[in-house]
Amino acid sequence: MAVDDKTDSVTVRQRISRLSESITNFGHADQNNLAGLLLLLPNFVVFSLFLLGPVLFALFLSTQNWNVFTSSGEWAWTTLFGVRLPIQNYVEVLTPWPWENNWASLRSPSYNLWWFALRNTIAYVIVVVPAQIVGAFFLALALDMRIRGKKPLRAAYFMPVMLTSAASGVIWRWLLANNGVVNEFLRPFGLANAWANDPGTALGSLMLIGLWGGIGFNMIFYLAGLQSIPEELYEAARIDGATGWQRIKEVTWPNLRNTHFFVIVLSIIGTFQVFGIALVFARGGPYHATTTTVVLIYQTAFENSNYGEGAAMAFILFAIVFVFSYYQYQLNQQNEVSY
Amino acid sequence: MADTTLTDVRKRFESDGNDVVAVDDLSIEIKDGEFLVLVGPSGCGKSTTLRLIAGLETISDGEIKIGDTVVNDVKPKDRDIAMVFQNYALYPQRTVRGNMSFGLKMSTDLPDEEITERVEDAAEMLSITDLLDRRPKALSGGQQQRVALGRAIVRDPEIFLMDEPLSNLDAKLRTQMRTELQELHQQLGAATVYVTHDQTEAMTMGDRIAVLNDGQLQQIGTPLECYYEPANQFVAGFIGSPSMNFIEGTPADGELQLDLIRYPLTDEQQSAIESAAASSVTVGIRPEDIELTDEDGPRTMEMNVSVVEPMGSMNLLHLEQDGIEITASVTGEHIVDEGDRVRVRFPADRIHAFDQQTGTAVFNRERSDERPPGILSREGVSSHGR
Repeated sequence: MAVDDKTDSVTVRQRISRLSESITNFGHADQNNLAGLLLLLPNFVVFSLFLLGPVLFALFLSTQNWNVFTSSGEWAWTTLFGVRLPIQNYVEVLTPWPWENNWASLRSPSYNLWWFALRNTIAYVIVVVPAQIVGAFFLALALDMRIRGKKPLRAAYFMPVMLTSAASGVIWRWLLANNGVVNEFLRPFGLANAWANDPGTALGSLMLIGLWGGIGFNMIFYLAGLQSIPEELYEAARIDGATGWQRIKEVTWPNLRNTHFFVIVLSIIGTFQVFGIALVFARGGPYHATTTTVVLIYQTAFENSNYGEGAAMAFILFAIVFVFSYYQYQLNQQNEVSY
Repeated sequence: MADTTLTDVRKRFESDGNDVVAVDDLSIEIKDGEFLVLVGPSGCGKSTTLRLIAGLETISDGEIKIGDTVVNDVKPKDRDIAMVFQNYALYPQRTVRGNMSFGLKMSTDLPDEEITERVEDAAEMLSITDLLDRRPKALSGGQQQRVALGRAIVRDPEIFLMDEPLSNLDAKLRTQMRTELQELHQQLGAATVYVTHDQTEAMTMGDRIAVLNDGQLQQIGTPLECYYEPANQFVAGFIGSPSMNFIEGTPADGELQLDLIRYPLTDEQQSAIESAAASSVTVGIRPEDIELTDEDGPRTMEMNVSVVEPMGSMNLLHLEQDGIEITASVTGEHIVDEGDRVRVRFPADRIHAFDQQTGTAVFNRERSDERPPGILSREGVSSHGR
């Protein structure tokens, strides 16, 4: 370990000296540095203008009582634990806390719409993410086999990914309408239902649409991951006497660990941000059954013109997604070093 | 324990509508307890042959028998074989113990205690007992290969199949593992079929070598038979490093008309050429059989040294004269420089001749039965049948 410590400290020292050199030389950028900076410039300008700038402005907005008509605002001060902070919008969004009213906020949208929308979103994430992952995995397995017409099938499963969420929402609104195609099939069995207008089924329908739209996207990653598993592992498993299912369990699934991580993170981020299909399919209704957090952010900011609270909600959502992704990353790191 | 027999085994693959024959009418008998090395260049069909024995590929024609059972349609797990792969093929999520016991759990009804005992015995044999609870990722290449060997050993198979198991190891470890594998083979006593493209491995490890080219068996014999008595020009060129030199020649009046000299033939060589009715032959001589000499003579020629490769114990001389290029291996103690002009001799008892049309050996070099000084007892006769 002594050697390691020494190596580490040497590396750190080298890094520090390199950093100080580059700081000293920064003002005297030679031709190469200049060319590098010029190459970075277009991206930096676009990134700053369309991402970093708006994000920082949204952060500023979340601390303001913003007036849309005058395009100006005042600091939204509040006192928390004796400290005066401009976080009034955050407090407005989050209070009353769900436990203060015996969790009624999670059961009904009448108490605090943020918590109700978050409940909808989490339910959506809990159902859609695992279903998308497991579905995409088995779909990829099937389409990786030597079957006829697998290329058109792959294209067919990927096609929903190319549709905009608004188009998907419209298609499914038609399909699931009272006298839509789905009901025509279900009517003979007495199962026809107003899928989008029934608060009991609207969120479930939304989950179905999300699953349909996302499964092809994840399938592509799994298909790519499957190509990287060495054939020898399957052969060793065959010699060991593993059945088809055991080969999936012992070889395929564990060897796709990095793909799982990537797909889970992307799916969690994507599903937490579900918006287009929810808005187009049922406009967040009926009775807020499909009001997800991003739909609520949209409605708060752009329909009710409450930019401050809308921005605050957006940052709370960012924090939630960040925590999930970071936790997942940590988990993956632990798996990587598996002594 | 029993023999494994391949009879007229053929494997065809379909590629873009064309049939590609990977293994062509191959017949080999692998004796019980034998270490047989399948050797040949890339694409010669050696790995396919191994996979056919393992049951990982189905055979197109012919018959494979392990013991008295024809295994053409038997699943790999039921063939009583164990295989070691080049890339180890260990299950990444399982510990060493898990990897070694998995096959036994899947394909046998052995009680857990016996599985544990077998795993621990094999681990001890391979000195990996302290690694049993680690995962493959935490092991070096050499350790992973030992685990892969352990996984094969615990199955106590009729036949071990090894597909270039040492190729991913560094040179030093490869040499060490080569010896260990041989010791292990002697200890276990089961037949082993070992695939390699490395002819040093083939020469040093095999009881017998089967040399393959284009899916066809070129020669099967002990390593020294293949070295001293190659059946054809391909085997002569493939076995031995550096490779044998070849010079084209035409027999006439008890001599061979080579490009640079008229080479006198001995009576035996002359009659071999006559009985083979070869109108043109290719003369072969190994680099280590070429001698540097001061004396001019009928079997000598003068050549220029174009490159010298000093290897320590010997110097490899790349010689050139009138477009003919050959390699000679001479003692490393003497200094030879690039640009030197040298006289070389091809001793009469060291040359081979191959029919230019068919490539088959017309005659091979003489092989001495003489034993070196210093041998005090004759009891330690090698099992290689040399």
